[in-house]
Amino acid sequence: MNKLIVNCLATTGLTLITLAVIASLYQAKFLCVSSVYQCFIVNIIMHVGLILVRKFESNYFVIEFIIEIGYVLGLLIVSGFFFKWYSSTPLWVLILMGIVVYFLGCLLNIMKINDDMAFINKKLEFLKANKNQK
Amino acid sequence: MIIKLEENLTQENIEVLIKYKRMNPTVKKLISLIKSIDNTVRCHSEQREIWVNASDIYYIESIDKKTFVYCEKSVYPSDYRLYQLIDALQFSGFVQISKSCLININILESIRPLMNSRLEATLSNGERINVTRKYVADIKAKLQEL
Repeated sequence: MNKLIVNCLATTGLTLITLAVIASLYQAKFLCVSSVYQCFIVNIIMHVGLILVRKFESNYFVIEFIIEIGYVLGLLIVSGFFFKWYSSTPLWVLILMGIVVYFLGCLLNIMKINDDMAFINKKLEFLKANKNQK
Repeated sequence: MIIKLEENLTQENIEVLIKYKRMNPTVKKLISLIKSIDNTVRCHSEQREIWVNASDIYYIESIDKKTFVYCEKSVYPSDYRLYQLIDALQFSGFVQISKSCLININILESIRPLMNSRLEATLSNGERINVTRKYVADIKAKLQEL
């Protein structure tokens, strides 16, 4: 549960930063409070859905990747209709944002996994050294 | 911890008595470790039934709904399903590393990332098997128990 909350907040932050960068390119001066809440809601739905999507495991990484990013972009497009984002943002910008946030999220995830792996390998070495001492 | 050993030629089975003030995680861990010594998995080898000791198993894999038990040099099919073995072997140092594979953490040598966002575990006999990222936390938790 903790991990889910942290992930939701992290990707909401990434989404808002990406949104701010894109809005700046369009000469915008501010982000609406409603946009912040909408981003947060969509991120919560996305992470809950990803728990189910990730239950599917394939021997081919590409299939898992297509399903995952397909789900993320699909949800974004549907949310765009629901929250009427298309009146101010073109569809391709929304998709671009989704891809950027997805890859930034993956990057953060890889960093976390690298930390976990360093811990695992260190612990394995420690256990091996202990065994050899005995 | 005080360990007392007593040799008795009339004793049939090994008897272990644990004396403790209060039940705590250390006592529980000790109990599970002692129980795990007798933990075996029923397998088949050339039409006959054999019992493989959990500590001799390197990893267990499910392929096309059939379960295979991999030891250092031999592979045995088993009638058990993977989910049954996950429960049965959890106190013997086994941890799930992918949807279809359980590994004995005691024979894990190292783990490294692959290019396709998967991970690869190297076992003490040099064999390499794939690890799914989502099970990394489980491996970490299992190692913390040791």
